[in-house]
Amino acid sequence: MEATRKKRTRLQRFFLPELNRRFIFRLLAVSAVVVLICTQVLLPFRIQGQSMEPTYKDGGFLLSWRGRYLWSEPQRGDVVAIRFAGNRVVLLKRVVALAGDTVSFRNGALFVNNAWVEEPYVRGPSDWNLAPRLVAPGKLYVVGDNRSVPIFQHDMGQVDRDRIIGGVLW
Amino acid sequence: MVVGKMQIGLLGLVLGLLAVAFWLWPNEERAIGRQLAKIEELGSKAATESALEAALKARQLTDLFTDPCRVEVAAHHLAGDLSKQQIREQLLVIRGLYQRATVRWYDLTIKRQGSKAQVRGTLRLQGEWQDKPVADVQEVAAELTKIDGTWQICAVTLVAVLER
Repeated sequence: MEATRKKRTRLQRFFLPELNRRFIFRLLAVSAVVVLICTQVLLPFRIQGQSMEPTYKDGGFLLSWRGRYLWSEPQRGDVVAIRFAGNRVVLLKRVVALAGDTVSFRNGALFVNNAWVEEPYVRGPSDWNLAPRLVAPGKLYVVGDNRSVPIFQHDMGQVDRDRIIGGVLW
Repeated sequence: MVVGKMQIGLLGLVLGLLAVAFWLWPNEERAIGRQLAKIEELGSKAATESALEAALKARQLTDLFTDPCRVEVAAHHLAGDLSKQQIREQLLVIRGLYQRATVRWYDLTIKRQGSKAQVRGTLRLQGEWQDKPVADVQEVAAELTKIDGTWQICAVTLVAVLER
């Protein structure tokens, strides 16, 4: 009964597509592209923990852009994703010092190469004290933005450059 | 046309059965994976866990290790051989600290050569300690050896990702 079939609008065809071979091929192709992007290019993460508050809140969502450091190196102030054995669980930290720098904390204030570093992203009181340490070659010094917790409870320190899998998209 | 559909159906069924058989076929990597899964199961703790249950789980966890087992905490430059008794005591203390805990493996890789295997993965613990939510993530490298048909952990290293 071809004659009685109504002509479908462009909008109808988009939202209610016919289940034909062409549609299935397109669906598979789109799915493959999405999987490729979400596993290799833009990694989606749910934030669990308060070490990057207030910049990134517990329970929030973010995308890590893996191409961020393909042609450039992480800089001081960058927020980076640090891998463990793989990419499924990562640490989110801020780079505060680069290889060859000396980093220390005095009464909550960050000093890099003996110069005070202004950190507008840090809110809340901090009483951190950390003796100066030299960042080794091939490493970066990373710290979270939440300095209100006792320093011994906070995961921070030197990390291999190779462990940085990307930056944060927003 | 009907025969064609039947043939396609049969082919799909055979392929499905082959895939299931391949998936269920016993191999050593899968046996190692099952041993590591016991760490998730026995390491996790419900809020209602009794002292007896805790002791039993600690004992079952200890059975996953050789006697002695080499333990290294790279971030603190600590290394030493622990007996099963010492491992059990440590496990009881650590599990006792938490009111509840969930342990999960991520990104596990298993490399086996004969009766030895190298395992690397991310171990994530989420729980409650002194009425506050806590979480810890560690990269773990372990060496397993097959003793009397059972894979046991003979060396374990907590890899230092961040060094102060």
